[in-house]
Amino acid sequence: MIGMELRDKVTEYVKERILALRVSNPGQYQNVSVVRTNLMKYIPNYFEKAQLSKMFFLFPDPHFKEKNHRRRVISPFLLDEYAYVIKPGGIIYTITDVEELGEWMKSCLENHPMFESLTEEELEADPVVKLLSCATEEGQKVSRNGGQTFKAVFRRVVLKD
Amino acid sequence: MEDDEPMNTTEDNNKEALEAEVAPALISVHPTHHSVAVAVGSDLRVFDLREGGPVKLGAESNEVFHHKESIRAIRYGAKGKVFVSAGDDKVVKIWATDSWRCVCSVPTEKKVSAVAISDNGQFVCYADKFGTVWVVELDESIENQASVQKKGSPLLSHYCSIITSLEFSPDGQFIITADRDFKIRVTVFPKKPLNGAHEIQSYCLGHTEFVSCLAFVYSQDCPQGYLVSGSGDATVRLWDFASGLLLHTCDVGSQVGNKEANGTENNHFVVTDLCTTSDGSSVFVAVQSLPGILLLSSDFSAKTLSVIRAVSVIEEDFIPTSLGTSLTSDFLWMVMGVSNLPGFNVSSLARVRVITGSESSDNHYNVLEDKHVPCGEQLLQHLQGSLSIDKDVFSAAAEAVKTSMRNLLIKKQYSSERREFRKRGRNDKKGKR
Repeated sequence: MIGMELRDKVTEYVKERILALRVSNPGQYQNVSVVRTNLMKYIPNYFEKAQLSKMFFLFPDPHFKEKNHRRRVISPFLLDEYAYVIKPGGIIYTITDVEELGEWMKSCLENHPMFESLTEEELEADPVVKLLSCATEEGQKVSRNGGQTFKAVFRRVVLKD
Repeated sequence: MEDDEPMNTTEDNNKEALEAEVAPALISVHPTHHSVAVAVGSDLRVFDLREGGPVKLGAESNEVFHHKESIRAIRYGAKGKVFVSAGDDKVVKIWATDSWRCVCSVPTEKKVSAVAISDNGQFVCYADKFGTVWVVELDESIENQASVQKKGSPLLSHYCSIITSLEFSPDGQFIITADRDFKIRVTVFPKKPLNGAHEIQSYCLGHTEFVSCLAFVYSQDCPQGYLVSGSGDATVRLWDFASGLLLHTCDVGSQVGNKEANGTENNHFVVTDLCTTSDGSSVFVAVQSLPGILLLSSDFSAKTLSVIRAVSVIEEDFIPTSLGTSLTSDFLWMVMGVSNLPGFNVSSLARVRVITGSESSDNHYNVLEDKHVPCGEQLLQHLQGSLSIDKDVFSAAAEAVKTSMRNLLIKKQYSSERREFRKRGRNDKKGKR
């Protein structure tokens, strides 16, 4: 599992956390790491076609201004690239506490022909879904402040003609 | 590459802006050699090779049909029936080549950097400097219509990158896009492109600088063909584009280095344009700082590209900015030129030269003298704008093109001090989020 982050300071912080976990749990957390990169430009440089089984977008930058909407990490164009690196059947998980961004991400995924929504039953059955809002520091902060979260979880499907 | 200049003043910014406005001259040849088109700045000049005379564009209508700012991409398509021109004035113009009327205009949001036409002429694609490729559908019998305006639909995008080249694969199945972030993307061109091209087939990754040009080599024995790409990293690469596999890297920089007296920096030998012969056996390469062209041979079974020779232009410091060939003749058309050249009373310059020959002929390749160029001096007068070119303007033009390409396509490196100074206006500093 690899974290891909644009900001130096955040990358450093995550790296320190991983190293600390490895020290306190010898032999474990060897399959987790982080890299400082711009995944929106360079994701095909890191992954082969259909290599990934899951992608997580947790509380991404909302880029509120209209002129910056094209910089959002979930966009109709970037979904083409994510569909390229995720194998058919693989899953994208998104969560945010900004309602407008939540609607945007859901709508981009709904309109993309290579993604389909998980059903209610599938969401219930997937143990990862519950973790989206409570397993990260940002998620815990949101629930401490009594905020609402908005999830969109979609499966990568083969393009139908 | 650290940048140690003092903090940028407004004057520096203006100078950069002016340099960026310099536009290289472009040339495109009708697939069956009916005509040749040259674009210099906003000026589009077409010469009819069959009639032997210049073409008056849009002669049959009263509309304003000239581009108002520099043209950045021109192309013939649909077996020569259609011609497209686009650039800084944010309008894609589509011309019917029998009458040279502008039959369709497409207003664009951003300046256009590349265009491509599907083989049957049904779709015209254009790419902008923000990385988005758009598509318009042309109506069936474009020649007979009054001029229409259409709006493009988004097809695909390279995130925040300038798209430098746009090409359809020989069988029309794929559309290839190259950007300034060293990437080449191969996308399936769908049956309904107006709904977007979402299925990425592969990426051709390997270049270590911006990719500047794309071309295909294919033959009867190998109809799918291979992709050839040229880059700021001074290499020309051969790819199996359906899988993204890099087949061969031809280091053009080292070949040119031997001949050039003053090759100072490594990034001097940028590949600026590529052109392939119709039998797929040869690739002509234009390289910054190299007068004339380099000839590469492509070997389909070995899957390699190798430098065979350089064809030099002796009398002039002729460094082509654009190359063109047709499918039916042995002529390689070249133009060297630039518009908006600061500091000279002639604001634009264009010089056309033609190389003829083939590997199998006795003398291989000759650079034709002006009087032996197809349609001779009449053609040169029309396409160049004049018959004689000042030598000083020539070398200034080559420098200006080099600088503007570097400013556009190579990401500037700043010292950390200067980077912090540049960030001073931002409101998302470390403390927050």
